[in-house]
Amino acid sequence: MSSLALRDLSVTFGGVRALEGVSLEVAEGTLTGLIGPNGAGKTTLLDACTGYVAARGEVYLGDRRLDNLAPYRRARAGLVRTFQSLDLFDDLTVAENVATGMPGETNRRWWHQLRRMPSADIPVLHDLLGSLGLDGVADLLPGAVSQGQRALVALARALIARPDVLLLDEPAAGLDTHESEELGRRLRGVCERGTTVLLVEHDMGLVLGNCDHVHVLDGGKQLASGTPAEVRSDPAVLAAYLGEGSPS
Amino acid sequence: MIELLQFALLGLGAGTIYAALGTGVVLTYQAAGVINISLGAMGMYIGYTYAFLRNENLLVLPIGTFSMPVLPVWAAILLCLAIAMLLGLLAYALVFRPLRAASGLLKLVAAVGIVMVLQSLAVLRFPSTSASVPPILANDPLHIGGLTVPWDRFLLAAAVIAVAVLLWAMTRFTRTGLAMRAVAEDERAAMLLGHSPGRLSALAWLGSSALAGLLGILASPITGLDPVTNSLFVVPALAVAIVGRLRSFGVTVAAGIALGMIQSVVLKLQGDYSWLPQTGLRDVLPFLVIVVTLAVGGGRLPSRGTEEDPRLPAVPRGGTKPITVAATLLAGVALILTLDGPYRTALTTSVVAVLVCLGIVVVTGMLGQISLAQMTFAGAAGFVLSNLTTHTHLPFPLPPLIAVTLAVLLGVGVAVPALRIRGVTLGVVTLGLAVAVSEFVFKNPDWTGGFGGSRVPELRLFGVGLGGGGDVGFALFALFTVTACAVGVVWLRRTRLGGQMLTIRANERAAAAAGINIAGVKLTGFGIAAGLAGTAGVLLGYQQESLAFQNFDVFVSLTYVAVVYLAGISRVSGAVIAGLMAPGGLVYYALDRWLELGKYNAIVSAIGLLVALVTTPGGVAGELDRQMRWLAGRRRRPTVPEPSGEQAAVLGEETERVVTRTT
Repeated sequence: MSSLALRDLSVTFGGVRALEGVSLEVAEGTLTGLIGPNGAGKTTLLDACTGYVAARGEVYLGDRRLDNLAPYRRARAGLVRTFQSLDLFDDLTVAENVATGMPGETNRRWWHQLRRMPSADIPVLHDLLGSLGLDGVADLLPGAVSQGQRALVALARALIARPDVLLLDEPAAGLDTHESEELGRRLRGVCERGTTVLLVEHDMGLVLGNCDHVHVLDGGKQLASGTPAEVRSDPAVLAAYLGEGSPS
Repeated sequence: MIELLQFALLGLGAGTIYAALGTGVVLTYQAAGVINISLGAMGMYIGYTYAFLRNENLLVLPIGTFSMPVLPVWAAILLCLAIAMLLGLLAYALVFRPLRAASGLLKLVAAVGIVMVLQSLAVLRFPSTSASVPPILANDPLHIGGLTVPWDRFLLAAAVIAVAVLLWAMTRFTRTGLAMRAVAEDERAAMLLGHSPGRLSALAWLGSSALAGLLGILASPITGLDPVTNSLFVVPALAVAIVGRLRSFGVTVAAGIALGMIQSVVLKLQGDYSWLPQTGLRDVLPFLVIVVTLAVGGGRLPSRGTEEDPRLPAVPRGGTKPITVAATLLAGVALILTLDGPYRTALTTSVVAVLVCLGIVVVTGMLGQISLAQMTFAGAAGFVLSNLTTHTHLPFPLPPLIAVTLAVLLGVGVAVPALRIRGVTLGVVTLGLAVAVSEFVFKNPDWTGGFGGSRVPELRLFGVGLGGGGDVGFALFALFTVTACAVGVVWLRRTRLGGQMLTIRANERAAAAAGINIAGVKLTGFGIAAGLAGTAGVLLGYQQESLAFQNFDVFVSLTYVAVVYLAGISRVSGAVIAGLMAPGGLVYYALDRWLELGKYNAIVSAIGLLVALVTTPGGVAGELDRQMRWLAGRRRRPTVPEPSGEQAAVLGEETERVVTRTT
């Protein structure tokens, strides 16, 4: 279990400054939200943390500096993410998809890679699939399960790595209100079991209802930061979401 | 110095061809999303058509030959260009339109099919005797300063530059050109705005075929005509198209002309300095151009915003059962013992071919990367084996082991560009490498036997000679070796490494997010595939007891990729079927004998390949598998009302396939 700290993170695409010197902290053991209007730089921030775009600035997981590591090394170090588009492996079953994320799957000596792929009946995988209600579809391909279940597969693939910090990119996209509430409870559970979570989300209910702390981005800069109640009443946030000068 | 300049200007001839074909490549890629490697063959075929029209007054069409009156030059050229446009349109309508939503690899394989059709047509329809083209452009020597350069080089260059300017103006200032750029950016959005990608693709095929045909006619007095050599002009053309980032006509033409001039100067230097390698130096240049451009350009080519489905055929669930392997092995042994003469030779050829195909299954079917240089790895191992067995006295297992190890290292080296680029672009890089190695190394008589071939002595195990060719001993040896490799690949599919390969095939960024070392797995996968190909090269050496560069030609690699794709690129069973269907293999030979195809064999198989690609995009093995499961499902249905887990998975796969087909 560790905290995540970003120092002066900047990303430019051509002439566009997608992220301008953002510094923020995700405290150990919290469920932290990251919100902002479309184009605020939320996904870019996740990409920069995990090494998917070239960025200037520093990324720390606990005391360990990660910003000069390749994406897969950051994942092995304990900083694991999901994608908004889920990005499941279409040719692997649900169980195999989740199993790819298992610690010890990837970072062992090379001859371990020549052993058989783990199947759905090893306890840790079986339990996780069961707790997410995926045990019935473990042997199906991702293309054959519902969108909600696919989102859970992506979550499970990240969770089984037992990450120190978990970055979730809009996990509630495509879920209905009920499913979204269920997801919120699950994320609180994940947090209580010791994983720090940074949640990038459009669903305000999910963020403001469950998070301990919320960061707000706008135009590539940090706009506000605080508890859900503080953020909810922050005039700058209201202006960014509702337009300049609107009464609230 | 003045001499170098003269050589540079002489190189305008070749440079113009690269520029024109490169322009055609850019055009078809922009409008139709196809890396059209058939343009060189198109130029070659039209060059032949023109030569026969002028020399013999015969209009030779793919079907039918007509006697013609003596035509003026311009009329003959126009007639030939009309044929080129017709062929281009046919290729689009019959092959690429039905495949418009297919993956880049499938389109590339289809373009290979077109090359095979055009080459076999040329061999079939044009006896090589009267294939010299009378000069068309004035080639009086032109004296500038101390230089003497034939006029036609300048005229050619002027013609190509004019075409490029026209094309540029068209994309800039006309509605069609705007639509073409829009389609290249985002096919779906352009469609919603009422543009027809189909019409634009057809136009691009017309235009690029006419351009290739025109250059085939105008330049063949300089280059000569040969079905294989002229088809290969497309490799430098691909190189310069990549310099133009598959987008800019101007840069492509400039790069093409520059490449031709540099090649010509290199040729001159090669003559002046005997310490320079005397063969193939100029053919290495296009490969260097591709690699340097991709390295400098950050390795990213603009991807087309297409409607296409980038996915490869689905990987089978379950996997191969031991009983299937045992049955196949037994059938192989039985066939070896019962067949004789040329049939057993063909069977042995098939067994060796299975190994090449296994390599392709690993690198493309499992890892999702395109390698068009598999026979280059086989050749490297084969020639090393030949050198080790004839020049040293190393005992048996060492020479083949060293040879295969070198092939593995070469494969790992080739994988380095694959760390930055993927898809069809990677295919182009490997194609450039295959041509470079073939011209620079395989044809170099100092390192290989050159045109005479390299000898490989008979394989002896425990003092017993196994023979070669169609001998039972060698056939069994090859069968057991290949079976061991096939079992290895089946096992690889079930390991963690195999699973990681599939994750990279499916989605690289998600694989990295799961902590998978993409670079490591890719290097390993390429190494394994090259090792399989290298083993095939070793077996081929022992079988033929002599190796020549023709065995490892780039078109052999392309043919194998096409056949494996057809048979089922995601499965080990696909490699087995592909081996049987491969040129010279058992099915190929048997069909040839039974149907008495004779000289029509090449064209029939090329057309068969195209028909099969268009009708069975999932591959023969996949189709067989589906039929078997369907049968099994029918048999079981009355007794088992609920679908079992496995059947449900099949159903899922089935639905997915239907969905991808309908969208």
